[in-house]
Formats: sequence, C-alpha cells, structure tokens
Amino acid sequence: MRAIESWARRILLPAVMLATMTAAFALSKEADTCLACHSDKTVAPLVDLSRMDGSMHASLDCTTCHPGAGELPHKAQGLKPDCGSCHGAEQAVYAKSIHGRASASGDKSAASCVSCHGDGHAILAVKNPDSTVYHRNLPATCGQCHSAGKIPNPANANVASAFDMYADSIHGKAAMKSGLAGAANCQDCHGSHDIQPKTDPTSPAFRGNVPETCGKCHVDILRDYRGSSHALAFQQGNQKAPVCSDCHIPHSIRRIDESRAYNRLIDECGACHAREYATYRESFHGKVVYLGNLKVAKCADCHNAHMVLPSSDPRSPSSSARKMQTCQKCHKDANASFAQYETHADFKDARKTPLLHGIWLFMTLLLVSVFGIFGVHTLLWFAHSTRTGKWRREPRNKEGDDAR
Amino acid sequence: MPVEGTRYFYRFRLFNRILHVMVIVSFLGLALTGMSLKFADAGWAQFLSMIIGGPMVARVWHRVFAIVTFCYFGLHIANIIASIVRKGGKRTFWGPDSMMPQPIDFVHFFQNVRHFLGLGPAPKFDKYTYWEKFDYFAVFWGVAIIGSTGLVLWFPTFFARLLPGIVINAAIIVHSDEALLAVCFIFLIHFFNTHLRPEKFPMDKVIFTGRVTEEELKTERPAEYERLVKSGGLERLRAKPPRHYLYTVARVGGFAAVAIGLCLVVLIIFSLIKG
Repeated sequence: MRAIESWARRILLPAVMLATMTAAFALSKEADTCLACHSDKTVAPLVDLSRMDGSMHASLDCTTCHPGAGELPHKAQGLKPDCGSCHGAEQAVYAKSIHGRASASGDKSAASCVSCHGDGHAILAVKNPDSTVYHRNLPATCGQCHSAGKIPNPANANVASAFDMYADSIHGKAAMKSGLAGAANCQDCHGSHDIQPKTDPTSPAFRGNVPETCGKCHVDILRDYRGSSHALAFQQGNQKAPVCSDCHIPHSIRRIDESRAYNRLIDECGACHAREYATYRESFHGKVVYLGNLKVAKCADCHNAHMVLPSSDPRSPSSSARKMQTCQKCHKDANASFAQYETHADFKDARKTPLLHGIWLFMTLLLVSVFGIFGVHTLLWFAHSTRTGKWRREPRNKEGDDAR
Repeated sequence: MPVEGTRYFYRFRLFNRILHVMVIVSFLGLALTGMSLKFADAGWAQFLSMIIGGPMVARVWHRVFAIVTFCYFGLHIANIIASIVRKGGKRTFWGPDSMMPQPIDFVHFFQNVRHFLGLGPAPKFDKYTYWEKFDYFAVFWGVAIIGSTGLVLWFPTFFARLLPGIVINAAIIVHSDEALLAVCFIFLIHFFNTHLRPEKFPMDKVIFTGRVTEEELKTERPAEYERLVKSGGLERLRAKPPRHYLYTVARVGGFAAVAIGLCLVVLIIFSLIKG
C-alpha cells in the first residue's frame, strides 16, 4: 500500500498535472492554468486573481513577468519578475539613481519598483487616484521610508524625516489634503526614477537648480528672481547668494504671513546683511515685527522680496528716485523730506551720521552723569540712614491702632 | 490712619495732588507701553506686549497716556501763570515757596553729602529740598523733551513738511534715551529719595493725604517751620486730619505704583546688562 502511495506521488500526480495543464494551455487562458495550482492552498505562492481587476497588467500573461514559469517543472531562473524587460528605459534610469545604486550595493531597504508602485499584479496607472504614485498619494508612499524613525541611523535627519515636515507644509496640505494637482509633491522637486541627492548637480533640488525647479510653478517669481542681484551674484559664483530654499525652508515651507516664519526670514537676510539687520532691529519697524505684528515695513517691503536690487539701481524701491513712493505705500502723506529719514541709521557711527552720533553721545552722557551723581548720593544716604538706625516706624495712636 | 492729638498742616493742596495722580497713572502707562517696544527682543517685553494686546494696542494706550501728560503739563503751566498773576513773578520764581533752584540748594546739597559722611549736621531744609527740585525739573524737562519728540513720532509726515527727515531719526534717539533716563530715575532715585529710604519706608503718603503732622514739619523742614511761626503763616496752613480713605488710596495706589515701577526697572536693567 505504501509502495503504491509512493508511486502515485512520484509519477502519477505530476503526470496528471502535466496532462491537465497541457490540456488547459491549449484550451483556455494561461492564467487559469497557473491558477490550477497557485489558487490552491498547497502550492505557494498563492495568487488572488481578483486583485488584478483594473490593474494595468490585467491583460498580460503570467509568463510575461514570470518567463521561467512557462515550463513544468518550473526553472529556477525567470520566476522573479524583471520589470525592466518591458520598462527598460525606466529601469536604466533607476539603476543610476540613489535608490538604484543603493540597491545594487546590497542595501535591502533601498526603494525598488514595487516599493513605490506596489505589487505588480495590482499595479494601477499613475493617473489613477488609487495608485500609490498618484500625485496626491506619492508623498505618503515616499513617507513609508522617509518619516522619522523609519530609516535607522540616517546620514541626514532632514532626508529621513522629510515626510513629517512636508505633511504639515503649505505644499503638503495642498497636495495631500486638498488634492490640488498643481501643488508640489516629492517628485516635483526631486524627480522620481532618476532621484539623486541634492548634492548631485543633476538633481532638481541641487542648489543651482532650485530656482528653475520652483519656477516650474512659480513662473512670475522666477522671472523676478532672475533679475535680482541675488541671482546675479549666484551666477557669478557666490555660493552664499540666496536661492529660493534659503528663505523658504523647503520641506516645511509655510506662508510667510505667519509671524514666526517672518521673523526667521528677516534673520535669514541678516545672516549676510549684518549691519542692516542690526539697524533694522533697532528701528520701530524691526521692533514691532519682534512683537508679532507684520503690518509694518519689513525687508521685502522696501527692497522687494524676489527682485532684490541695490539702492543704487533706479528700479529698486529703496533707490533715491523711488524711495518716497515706497514710503507712501504705508505713510500716505509722505513727502521727499520724510523719505530722507535714514531707515538704517547707525547712531554709533560718528563718520556717517555725525549729528545723530552727537545726540546719542549727549544723551548717554546725561544718563551717566545723572546716575553718577544721584546714584552716589542715594547710596550715601542709604548707608547713613541705616547706620543711624532711621528705619521708620509710623506714629501709632494711643489705643494701639496699627497706623500702617 | 491719622495720628490723634497732633496738629496737621497742608503740604500739597488738592489741585497738585490730583496732578500728581495724573503723573503717576500716565507715567506708569507710558513706561509699560513704551518699554515693551524699546526692549522688543527681550522675552519679558514680548510677554508684556502680549498682555497689553500687541504693539498696535499699546500704541493707542501710549497716546492716551501722552494726552493725559499734556493735560497735566498744561494745567501746571496754567497754575504757574495764575501764581504770577496772584503773587507776582518774583514770589513765583524765587524764594522758599518757589521750585526754582537757588544758591541755598547747592549749599544744602554739599551740607547733606557732608552729613551723610558723618562730618556735619543735617542742613535745615525749607519747603522744597534740592532733590525734590531736581525731581521736579527732571519731570518738567522730561515732559518737554519726550513730549515734543513724541509728537514728531506720532505725526512724522506732518513734521516732515516743516523739518528735514533726519529730525525723525533724532527724535527716535532722544525720545527713547530720555525715556530710559526718566523711567530709571523715577523708579530708582525718586522712589528711594521719597518713599523707600529708611526714614520713610515703605512709603511717604503725603502726596495722597496732602498733610503733614506738626512733628514731621518741625523735623523734616525746620527752616519752613521757623519761618511760618515767625511770620504767623502757620495757622493759614492748618488742616483737619486726613480722612481715612486717603490712607487706603495711598496704600493701594502707591504700593501698586511702586511695585510696578520696581519690577519694570529690574527687567530693564537686566536687559541693559545682558544686551
């Protein structure tokens, strides 16, 4: 009996299977043939054909992606799908990307095709709103790895937790919550198959490429920026000259009419323009901004936000030709004399503003001498009264009423 | 609480006491709203500004208190003019009843310093001592300087029609530095000289009650007392004992003012040292 069982298992079963499959191959769809085994609980991997409904790959044969499965018994090779056999161009680009290179070097956690596109059976068109790489869904897909704590020991914390910052940003809210297809998602600034670190000159997020990348959507701003002295300085090789991302923090980008964001922005201008920053913060405008009110003049109100120009350029709002008009934006009755007000006057600079310096010197001298004389006078008085025991007791009534 | 069995004499009539209450209220208001802007980079100033309701609300209050200041300044000037009419220029601007600094004040100053050093007796003060006159002129000069520069900053486009734009820069420096001087002077020197010194600690309530006892008059202002006894003017200054509520006003209002002032000046000095 045992011998019969063994014989049956070794020879009869494969023979029957082979016969059935051959017949099936001839009569019906290939998938039905594969499913004869792979929908059964005994032969792994199990395939749920219903998942292919609506899939881009629904019309493909199993052997298109699993060429090794065409023969029985299956060959060892060609069972795992090779996406590149159809998507060769994408595969080649991916191989050069940071994900592809990491994967080739043996990093198992590096994103592969299925990491972003999902299982090949259920794969959907990029334009399908249910796709994992659909515009609205892509950030969460990248966030599978690029959220805090997901990448162990990340080399760059900003890269590792990019999704957390992005999700709360103006771009993130617009793209993910409101589903605005025009709002930048990860791919718009970093590319997709060809993704590279921002230190790579081919990355759209590379410093030198940032203005063009942002300018894909912010067209007018790019045009203004291109005309600015910042853009000119950057082109001439000044790496410290600002590009978009220096003032607008990339992942956590916010509207600038939030007080904290604006104070940070002014600090950013001050990182290079230290003297102007110091005098601005000394001014009424600068102080009011510290206190959280943004209605007063800030750097960009007099110098432009994007088309920043030196005051010597007659197109600049701070040029002598246009200064008065600029003041009039807020001070309706401002005249030429009003515009002579030195916004960045440094009263400690005796050469540039001798009058103001003199006034400041006089005020300081007055302060020092008043407190010098009366400070000493007060201290002497205090010492004397303490020494002679004059701590006062208010007169009391005979009945003992507390007079205090 | 008035002391029984003693005679009271007027030191400050109601008019001047009301003016001083106006000074206290407006000065504290100006100091709090102004200093929250001057030290805007400090955490305490940002907190203070937030409590007030932000810089734009502070600005409105600052101007309200400025108007109060101009009012008491105007009332005081009117009072001086009335005094000139009533008593003549000479008695208004000279003599023991005048606030004008006189040679005797300089003598008193040196005598008093000598006295502090234990090298001589205390000078015999008359109605107004030299430090009281200095306090008075500090406010007089302060209101004139801070008030005029404040008007330039309140109406900059109007003043720019009359004066060059650099005047606005100058006004900012003068307004801000003079205010710092005034605030520190009042909250440190005036508070000590008048209230916190051991003889008067914790406060002298005369600016609220308006009256001093015969004992106080005799010991603190002996020259005035002798002069009044000799001329027979003492009886004309006789006053009923101060009403009870005046002490309550003095205690609540005075202590609040002194406490607010001291807190503010401590924060200012902290920022000045740190900055």
